[in-house]
Amino acid sequence: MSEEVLFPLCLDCFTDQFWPQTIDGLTVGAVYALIALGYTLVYGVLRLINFAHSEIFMIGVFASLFSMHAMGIDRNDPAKAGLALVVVLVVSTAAAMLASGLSAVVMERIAYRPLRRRNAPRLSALITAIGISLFLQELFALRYGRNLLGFPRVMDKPTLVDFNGAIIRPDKILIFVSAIALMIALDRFVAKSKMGRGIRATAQDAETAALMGVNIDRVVVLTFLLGGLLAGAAGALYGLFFEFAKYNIGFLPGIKAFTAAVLGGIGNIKGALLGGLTLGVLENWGSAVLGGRWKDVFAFAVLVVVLMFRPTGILGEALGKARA
Amino acid sequence: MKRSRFRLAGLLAVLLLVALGFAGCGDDEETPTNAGGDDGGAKKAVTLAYVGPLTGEAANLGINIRNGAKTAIEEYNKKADGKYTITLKEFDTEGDPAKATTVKDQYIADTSIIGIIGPAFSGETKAVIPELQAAGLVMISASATNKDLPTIVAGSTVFHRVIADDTFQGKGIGEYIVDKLSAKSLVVIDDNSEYGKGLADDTIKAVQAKGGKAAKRVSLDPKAADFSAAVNDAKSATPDVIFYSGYYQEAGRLKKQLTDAGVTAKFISGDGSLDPGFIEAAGAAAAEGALLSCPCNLATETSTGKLGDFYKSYIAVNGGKGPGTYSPEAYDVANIFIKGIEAGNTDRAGLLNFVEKDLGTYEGISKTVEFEDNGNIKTPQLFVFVVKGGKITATES
Amino acid sequence: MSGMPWARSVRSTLRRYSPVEFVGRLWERQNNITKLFVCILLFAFAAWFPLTLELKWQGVLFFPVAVYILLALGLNIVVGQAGLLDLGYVAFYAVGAYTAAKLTTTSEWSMWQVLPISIAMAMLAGVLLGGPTLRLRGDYLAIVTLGFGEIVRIVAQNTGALGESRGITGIPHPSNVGGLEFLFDPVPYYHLTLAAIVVTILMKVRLNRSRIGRGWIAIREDEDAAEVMGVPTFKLKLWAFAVGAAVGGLAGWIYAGKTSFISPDNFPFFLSVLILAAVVLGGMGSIPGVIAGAFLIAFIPEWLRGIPAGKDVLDVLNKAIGGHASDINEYRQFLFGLALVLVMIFRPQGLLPSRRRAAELHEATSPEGMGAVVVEQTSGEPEAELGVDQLLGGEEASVPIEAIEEPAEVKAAEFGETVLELQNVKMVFGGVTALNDVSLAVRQGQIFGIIGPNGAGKTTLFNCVTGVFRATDGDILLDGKSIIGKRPHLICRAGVARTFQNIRLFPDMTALENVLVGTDADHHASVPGVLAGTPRYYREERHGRTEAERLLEFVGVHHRADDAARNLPYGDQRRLEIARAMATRARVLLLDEPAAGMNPSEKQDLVQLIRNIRAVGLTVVLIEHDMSLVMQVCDEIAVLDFGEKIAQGVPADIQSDERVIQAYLGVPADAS
Repeated sequence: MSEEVLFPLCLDCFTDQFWPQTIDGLTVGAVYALIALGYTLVYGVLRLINFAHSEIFMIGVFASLFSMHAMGIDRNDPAKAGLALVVVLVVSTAAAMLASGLSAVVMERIAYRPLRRRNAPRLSALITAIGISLFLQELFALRYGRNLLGFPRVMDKPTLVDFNGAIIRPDKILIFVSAIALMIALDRFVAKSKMGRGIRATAQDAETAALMGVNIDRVVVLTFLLGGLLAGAAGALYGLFFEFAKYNIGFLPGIKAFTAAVLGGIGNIKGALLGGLTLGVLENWGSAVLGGRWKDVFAFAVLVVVLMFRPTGILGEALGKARA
Repeated sequence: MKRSRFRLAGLLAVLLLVALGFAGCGDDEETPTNAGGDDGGAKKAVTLAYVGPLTGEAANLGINIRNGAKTAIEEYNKKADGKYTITLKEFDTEGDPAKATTVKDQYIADTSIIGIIGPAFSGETKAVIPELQAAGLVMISASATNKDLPTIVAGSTVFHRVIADDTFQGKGIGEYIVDKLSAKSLVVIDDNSEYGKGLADDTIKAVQAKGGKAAKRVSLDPKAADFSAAVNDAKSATPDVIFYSGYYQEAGRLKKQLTDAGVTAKFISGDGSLDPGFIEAAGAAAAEGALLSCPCNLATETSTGKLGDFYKSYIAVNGGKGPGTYSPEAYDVANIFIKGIEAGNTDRAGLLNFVEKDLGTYEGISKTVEFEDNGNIKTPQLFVFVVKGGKITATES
Repeated sequence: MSGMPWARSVRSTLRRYSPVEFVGRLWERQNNITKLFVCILLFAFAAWFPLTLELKWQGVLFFPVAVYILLALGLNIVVGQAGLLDLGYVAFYAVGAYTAAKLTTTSEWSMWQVLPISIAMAMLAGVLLGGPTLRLRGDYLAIVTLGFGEIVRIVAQNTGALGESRGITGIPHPSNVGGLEFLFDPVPYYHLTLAAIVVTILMKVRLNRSRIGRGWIAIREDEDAAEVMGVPTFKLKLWAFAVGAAVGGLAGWIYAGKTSFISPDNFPFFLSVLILAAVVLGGMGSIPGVIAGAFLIAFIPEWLRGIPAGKDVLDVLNKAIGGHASDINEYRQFLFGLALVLVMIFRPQGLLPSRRRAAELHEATSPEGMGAVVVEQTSGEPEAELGVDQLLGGEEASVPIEAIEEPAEVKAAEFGETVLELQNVKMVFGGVTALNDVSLAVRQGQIFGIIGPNGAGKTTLFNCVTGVFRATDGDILLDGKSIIGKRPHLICRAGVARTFQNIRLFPDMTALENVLVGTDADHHASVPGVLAGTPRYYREERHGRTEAERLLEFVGVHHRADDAARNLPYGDQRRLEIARAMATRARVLLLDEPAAGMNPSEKQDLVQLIRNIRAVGLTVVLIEHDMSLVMQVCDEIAVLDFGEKIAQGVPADIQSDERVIQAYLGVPADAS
């Protein structure tokens, strides 16, 4: 039992655990999708991979936790129910969204705008993003330590349904539904509202949009804000599900969310949702068959393969021009 | 070409910086532990070194050891009749083997250092034993448990440790699982690290030797937040005992996710999980009842006897912080060195010789220490702790 | 927020009076003997230096200082010179180390024997990584390389044969060589690394002076234009990866040999970021800059460990952000991140940049830059910081073109064989048919004009011929051989070159260098050939230089040979583009609106130039809007409208063709 072959393929595991892995994959995938929406928006408008988006997410998680502390909830308090629960959820999510949205806007102002003014090459922007990411991670690590901070359990998580081994719980349902709802809201906003039109116009042809009277600066700020709000929501939900916050909590989900955005089609809002869910499920299936330690390689491999063979993603690019 | 314009300028600037930088370097950071020991008398100065993490993810474990050693050294330095003043120099490896190799040049080169308390982790120990041997610098580790360590350098004389290696721990855990827990269906999860897999291997061997078996063996990625794949995998084998081989943060998160998934199996883990961080990560509710084993002993506020005295002394020396995992062992290590120094061994060869030959049997606060030829101890012990009411408390051993 | 103009004036003042500039100028004035002498001195100093240090600092000098410098130099080839953002460089370092470790511990091979294998494996990894991914641009390439780097590490961690997380122990040291013993003393390893650094530097210098280095710069400044000018972009990018990877592998071999124990933990993603930070902070593309950057990044944390002042800095930092660190080193990554951001905002070219790179990083001229969304500046040519003199067409008048005697056949309008032919070419984009069933034939020696209203598909036609677009249907023949589907650089080498409607010179290369890139279309020295200094390499360099100077004279830009292309007056830029295109030894020259923006006297010079081009044996195909010029200089004209050819003939016929008039004026044929 202690000798392991390089790739022990356990196909039985796949069939045995199909349902639990799928349900859990969809749950985590929904979180990826929310983060991916931020990546996809910013990339669609600015052609910039906001490396630091994962830290925006991390800020959301922390904000959610701190808002619970502020509400007087202690680490080991019993779970809430009914109206109290709703209040806690709403407040913590709002706090997270606010914190993340604000951080994103500030980040754009301070770090990215000077680069945009100079028409700096994308290499500079990417390096700046890496710097910001590192800086924020370390800031939180130095302030709050490198050990994880546990969340209080605010919501009971009884097993509602046990479906072939898949545990359906209220928190999983909440996450899944929220992700879809937020995505629909965003999609509607971008498609129907005036500001949304501005975003789409800028994504397709910034110069012309500017000539047509679109205030590009405002569009960029709005894009970052929206991405940040969604990342914050993702952070609150993540905290609810995993119940811990840590300085480097954003790194892996960030990369996976970016993979999801690319998988679904960068710049495509529905694609981000599809990509996120797909990646979550694929990851879990893969680790059932190959073993948990290959999970990350699986995600990275999906990224590489998609970029090589179908860089426009499953649904193709929608917000802006096709760009490999 | 135009670009060579800056070449000379650049190289000159670089070399200037280099020269200045190296010229301006001072001594290593010292932690003088002779706070009150103002010596009007003829106390000679001797230096020991702590090697291990003080920063980084695994910092807690290292800090516990450093503080335990510090307690012993300060107690000694305060003694009026002590012949020497001992200084503890600290070398932070961040628990990273790569770092460890950079740092080792420093303490090996410092000839005032005559003994190493540590290194703390097996990975870093492995990286430095050859050179320690070449330099004749004796080491006693309070926590490095990898079973291969004594044989890294054949016939090594410098390597010692005061705790059992993972083979022993695994054996102990395995037997505990079969005998005390009467496991019918066992699932073993490891964190894919050298330590985790090794310990898991040894535990399974012991279980098999007793006629049992592991229904499933799962490897997870400790960096992931979501262990659902591993949880589901484990659950599908309907275990009544789950053994996790890894470190406290992941162990805690895993326990929480297992509980949430409705898994009611008994949870047992090894020394890497023995830390309050486990409870923090799992949440008091989920952590309740978890079993944590260690070849080390713990000193808590309820300890009595020598452990109790140590507890009070530790708090006094370390500004109110309580001792943690391996603190008692580190205290013993430091005192072993101190004994050797008191006996007049104030250079590397002398101290090495003392530890190898003259120590005999030493009654420490964590256990009785007697070294075998290869540096392991003769009478290892395994302690099992249980999480009760949000705290770690002792059970049988 | 404005663009912080105050920062700009501070910067330019610093630049003018900085000691670095002064020394740089001093350096340039020296002759080669002096330069060589100084370099040897520096090397001797570097070799002697560790003997003055205590053991601890000797160790630090080897690792991380020297090793990081070597790694940074390697990454510089990929990022700094070729402009490819690689976030997974650590993978090559790991491959080199693991190859050495595995082979020496499981077989009888010695470390020295394994050295070439380590390097070869790393190069292989570079090619394997580059092959599928170099099609991707910028950001995507960065993320994919990040993914690859992590995949390599995780595979090493999960593979039993590679020791999994235990790693590989007991790696033997390199056996003693020539009196140098490789045991625990770091100094011999330092010298070994120093030798590797010197070799790498020499290699880079040599490559810079060849078509390889020029090609890399061209790719970095304008990849598409480079491809069309005959630069084999894909192959060169792959070479950049391979050479960079080789250096990384070498570093890995050295590291394994010293520490005798490696594990996946030695190769984290953060190390890739660290080395990248070294390159960026030091000054991309500049060798001393990269060395300085790597030195700082490696040395400062070690230095901070020990100094007493570190305590105070620590307290300040702790107070500033509410941190609880106990050791200044915990702030290392924090400060790195901050430094990266600040440097990118205020000095993106790094500490000791190469002047060329400084210009590039400050403002991108291509639409690939971030500010595709720039509000305050107008799009188009941004002002160069160092001298603006092309806005009004130049202060100096361009050199007038003198006529060249035309050969007899041309005078008699007897043209040769068909050299370029389009047969029923159709080009469809999505729903738009840009070219519909266009057929025409150009004969050797002709000056062939293509005219038509805007949007008629003229430039698209050029793009199809040069291979930038692949025609949806039909065929394009050069000398009777189909060139459809070929890569643009191959089409260029086959004999077709072009200029661009909106001038796509390599902005920060000099005029001479731009033309040299053109001559490289016909050069074939390979990377090994360049490094070894084969006769072919020297011959091609000489040839290129002679040819480039000749062409610069031909177009009348010789007096500006050493100016950066972006600083040339507009008219001279157009001429330079033509010279570059001719340098590729093309036989067919496609000129896309060469007279745009010119005044009448410049246009006359242009006419003469075109005639001269034909007189020396080329065929010219010309897109133009200036009717008088077209009628004046062309032998035959084709007219496109809405993607279709509506007329073809001699100028006189075209002028009176009703369909043409209607297309241009929108007037029905029978109205007058």
